[in-house]
Amino acid sequence: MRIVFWLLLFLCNCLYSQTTIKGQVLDTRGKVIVSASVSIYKKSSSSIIAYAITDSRGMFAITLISPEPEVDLEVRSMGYETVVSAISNTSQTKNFILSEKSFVLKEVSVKAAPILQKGDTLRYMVNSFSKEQDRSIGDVLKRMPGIEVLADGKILYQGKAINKFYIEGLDLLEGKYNLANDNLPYQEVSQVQILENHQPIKTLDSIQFSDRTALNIKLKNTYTFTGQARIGSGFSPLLWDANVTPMLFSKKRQMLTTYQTNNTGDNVASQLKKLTIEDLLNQFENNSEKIDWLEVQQLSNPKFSEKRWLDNSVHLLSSNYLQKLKKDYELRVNVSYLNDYQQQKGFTSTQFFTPSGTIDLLEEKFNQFYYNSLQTNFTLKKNTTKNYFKNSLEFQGFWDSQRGNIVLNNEGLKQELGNEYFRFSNNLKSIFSIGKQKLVLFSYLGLNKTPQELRVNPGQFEGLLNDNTPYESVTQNTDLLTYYTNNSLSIIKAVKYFTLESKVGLQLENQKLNSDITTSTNSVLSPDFSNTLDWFRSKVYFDLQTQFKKANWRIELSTPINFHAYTLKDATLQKAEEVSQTTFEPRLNVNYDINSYWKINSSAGISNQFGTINQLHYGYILQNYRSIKRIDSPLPQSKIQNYAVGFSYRNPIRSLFFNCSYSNVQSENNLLYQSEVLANGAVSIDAIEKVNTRSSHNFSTRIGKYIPAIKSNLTLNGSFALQEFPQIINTSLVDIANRNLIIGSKIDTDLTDWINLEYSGSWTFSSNKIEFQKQPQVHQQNHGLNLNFNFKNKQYVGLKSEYVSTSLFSERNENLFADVTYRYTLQKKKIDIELQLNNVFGTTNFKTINVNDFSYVSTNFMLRPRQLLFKVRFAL
Amino acid sequence: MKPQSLLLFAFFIVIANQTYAQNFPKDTLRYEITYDYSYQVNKEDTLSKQKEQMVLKIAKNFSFYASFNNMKLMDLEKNWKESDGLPDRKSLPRTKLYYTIVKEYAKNQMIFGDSFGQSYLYFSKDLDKFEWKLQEEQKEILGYNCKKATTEFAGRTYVAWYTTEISIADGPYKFHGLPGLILSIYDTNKHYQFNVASIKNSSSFCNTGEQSQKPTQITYEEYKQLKKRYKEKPSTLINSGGMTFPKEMLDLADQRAKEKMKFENNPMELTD
Repeated sequence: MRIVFWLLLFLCNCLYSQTTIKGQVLDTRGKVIVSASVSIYKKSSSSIIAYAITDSRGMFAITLISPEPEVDLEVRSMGYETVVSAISNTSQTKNFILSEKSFVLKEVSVKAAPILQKGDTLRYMVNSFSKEQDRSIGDVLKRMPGIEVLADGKILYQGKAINKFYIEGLDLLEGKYNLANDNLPYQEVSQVQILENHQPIKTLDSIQFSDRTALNIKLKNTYTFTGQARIGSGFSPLLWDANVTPMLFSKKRQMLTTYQTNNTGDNVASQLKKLTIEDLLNQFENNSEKIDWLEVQQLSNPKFSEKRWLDNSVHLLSSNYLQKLKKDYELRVNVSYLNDYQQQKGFTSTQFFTPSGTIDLLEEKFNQFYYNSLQTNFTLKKNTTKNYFKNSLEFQGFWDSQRGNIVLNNEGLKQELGNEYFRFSNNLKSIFSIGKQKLVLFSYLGLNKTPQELRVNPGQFEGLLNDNTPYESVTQNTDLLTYYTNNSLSIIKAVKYFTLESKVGLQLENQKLNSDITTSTNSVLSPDFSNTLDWFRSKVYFDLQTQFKKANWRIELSTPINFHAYTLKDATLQKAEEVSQTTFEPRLNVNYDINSYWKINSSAGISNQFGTINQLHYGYILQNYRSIKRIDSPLPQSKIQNYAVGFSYRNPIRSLFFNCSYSNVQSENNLLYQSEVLANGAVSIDAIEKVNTRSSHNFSTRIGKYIPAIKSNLTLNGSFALQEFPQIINTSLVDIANRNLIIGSKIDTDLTDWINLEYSGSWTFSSNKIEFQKQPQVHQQNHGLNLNFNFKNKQYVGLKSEYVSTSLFSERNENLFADVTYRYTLQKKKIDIELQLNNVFGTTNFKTINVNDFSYVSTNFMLRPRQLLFKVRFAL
Repeated sequence: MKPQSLLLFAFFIVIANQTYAQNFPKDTLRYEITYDYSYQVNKEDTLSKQKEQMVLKIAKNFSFYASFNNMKLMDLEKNWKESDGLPDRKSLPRTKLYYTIVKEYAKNQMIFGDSFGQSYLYFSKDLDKFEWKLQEEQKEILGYNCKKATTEFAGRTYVAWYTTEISIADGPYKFHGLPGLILSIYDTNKHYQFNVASIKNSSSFCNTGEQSQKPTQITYEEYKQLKKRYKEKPSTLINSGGMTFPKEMLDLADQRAKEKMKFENNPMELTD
């Protein structure tokens, strides 16, 4: 028997023994814990051999077969402390008491694809593109593939400017979207949506297609109060920088108010620029943009970041408010006030190339600009699927003035300019539905006044103005008063795949130009030196627009017939001209979507352009101290043909965007301008009647790709432009050809978790040819390299460097700039403390070269010196 | 109108503020787990894959599992007042999965609810028993260390990845019983896949009995029969709610259902 027993025992030990471990799990108060897991691990390993889940009485029973003499037993339950105990591998009963412990899971979620597409809408997930060093939504926008932000803040999508910038579907800023882009914290934004083929007028949505693209900012919350406040100071001289921008976005109301002031070279005035293509076109159509007739001789600005050279002292106050009213109306009020004082210092050396040789001119300049402007806009709008109504009442006032000091060949010259401008306008557009047809009513009424005065000391053009004797000063006065109205009525009708719009309209424009030149000697000048021009223009137009849309085709044909009539009369000079002409200006657009990735667009058109009042005045005007201009010519007319074709590819899944376009413009003009360069360097311009052709070719391409795996955004772009035209220089006719080639690239990549690198570079090659004589090539390179270090303890160091190189003749100018930023973020209070050292190398002078039609101008510009700035930024 | 939209319409017409929550557990939630659920309705056609996001809401003593959009719909109904008018159908969240699963750990009981036409039916039964085979393999999902386990369920073999870092013996659908939360589970053909999309802490209140209609209890057998009938001849159920629809519409719905049934030859549960 005994042997049998030992044998059995031996066998048992050889085979794996089967053990059962059972017990109960309770909490500290003696209550059972249900659904706790009791796991048996192989001694000090992470592999589970057996486990059980406690039942409704907290009981568990684990049967395990294992050779291990000892195992680890672990009891886990959510909300309780985990218990681990080493036990021997023998059948036993073991009870556990777990103490409570709050347990918070580490929250995670699968990263959403950075760009999503649904129909015509692309959604860019902001958190996929944002970086630690970003502050405003504009910073993040720059990184989104397919989207390009130009230096002035203009947003392009696939190479074309956007037509609307919405915040939560509302157009608060009407084109002045830099206000939001520069100030809205990106943390408040969940998505940036690109709305392709966007028709902003809802009632025309299914009727009239559009190939324009709009951008919509989608916020995280339906009610958002946000914004930023920043205050900073530095030296030398004493610098200041402040920005307070509160914003509110809710379903019924949107508000953005900003006060900004600085003398650090940050040109905040650019935030008041209208940037959407639609608003720009309107501005052009209604000639509502400020035109300066007279000027102080300026320095041409360096072609790199404004912050390095702009010497300003700006105050900007802008308030924008949108309120939804009853019956789907919305009221919008935009009021902006700008005050700026800018200074420019430098010298220019100008070389005029003429067939008879070169003329040199050296000017040392000190200019002061005073800007003072108020812009207001009141808009009432209703945009529903049934009706559309929009009325905007606008007032703009510019009380600007400039002062310029020039040392010309060791002699001083003073210029004083008052360039004021006032405009008042009302714009009404209303669309009603009549059955299935839409009736569109449009009316624009504008009134503007441009009273400007330039005084030059000492008097110039003695030969013309003062019997060849030197004199103290000359004063040019101009005053232009313009009434303009444009009214049209059209009916839009959709028939199957076609949409027909028949339009009839009338434009009237009356401009009165009064100008005169007076001299300090009160010399009696002939009437040739004053204008009393009465300019009347009318245009009656009929237009039939046909749109065709089927499957992947979108075709638009516009066939306007215009009756133009011009009556120009200068009673004093006894000059007059009457022109009446009928023009047919057809235009065809064809868009074809090859598939959801590839698109082709093409257009062809003929149009006519007539001169504007600043291209035709019978009396002399002293435009600047060295240009006195009289354009005693017939009305300038040109017939323009243009062709364009473009391809675009977008693949949001692979985040790959590509576009390329070519355009050709040929214009036939009736006038040629003769620029006569006088011995003293002054330029006199006359027009000669001679039919001539100008042509230009433009090619541009851009490719952008986001690589999520390495969080990198790559962009390559290139463009080439060729312009050919004839010009008269010093009485001989010469053919001029300008070529311009630009190649650029941009890389944004995360080298490690905490180091981010941004590089952008461009190469510009410009050359110009007069007759068959090649002029030397100008070659400019711009490279910017930024390194951003985001340290763990919320500290940030940014190294910014910019390299600019220009070469002309055998001369090469190189400049390297660097800035250092250190930022510390107090996470809890969302406060940034920032220290900035700008222009580390202290470069104070910069030389740029400009190629004109017939001259090379090299400018030496005074830059901002090395400056230290301390800033504090709060999120509101 | 599609039969689905018809149902949706009916769904909103009938308002029953009364809720029947006697047997339904309710409590403050602790965690909310979402899964991306992808399922292939036709055996051969890999393009017939459909996707929906599912939510597993976890409280101390129970869990509640349903389609994310279905939950949204339920919330909408809950807050809907007659004065609001009928909502725009386009703006409503869309779902094809109307079933809900409540797992009560202590009672070892599951409440399975589903809506047919205008009625919301449920049955309760014991939780399914899973024989999990633990494997050595490990991998990381969303930063959680996961272990592999396999099981057989209703005629399919499943691979599950669970994490002991979250000691909740639960998972998507009817799956449960591992010593940790299931973050990913799929059958070996990869026709039915559940992958975790997010893990969140929660403190909102969940009442599993809050349904738009008064839930009616049936037996498991009855449910199976109803399900079969609904698939084959939905008209018999659409009409039962007191509203009548034109015959052509019903015939069309039946016709569609037949075609659908023929195509959808790949149910998740092949056997009982």
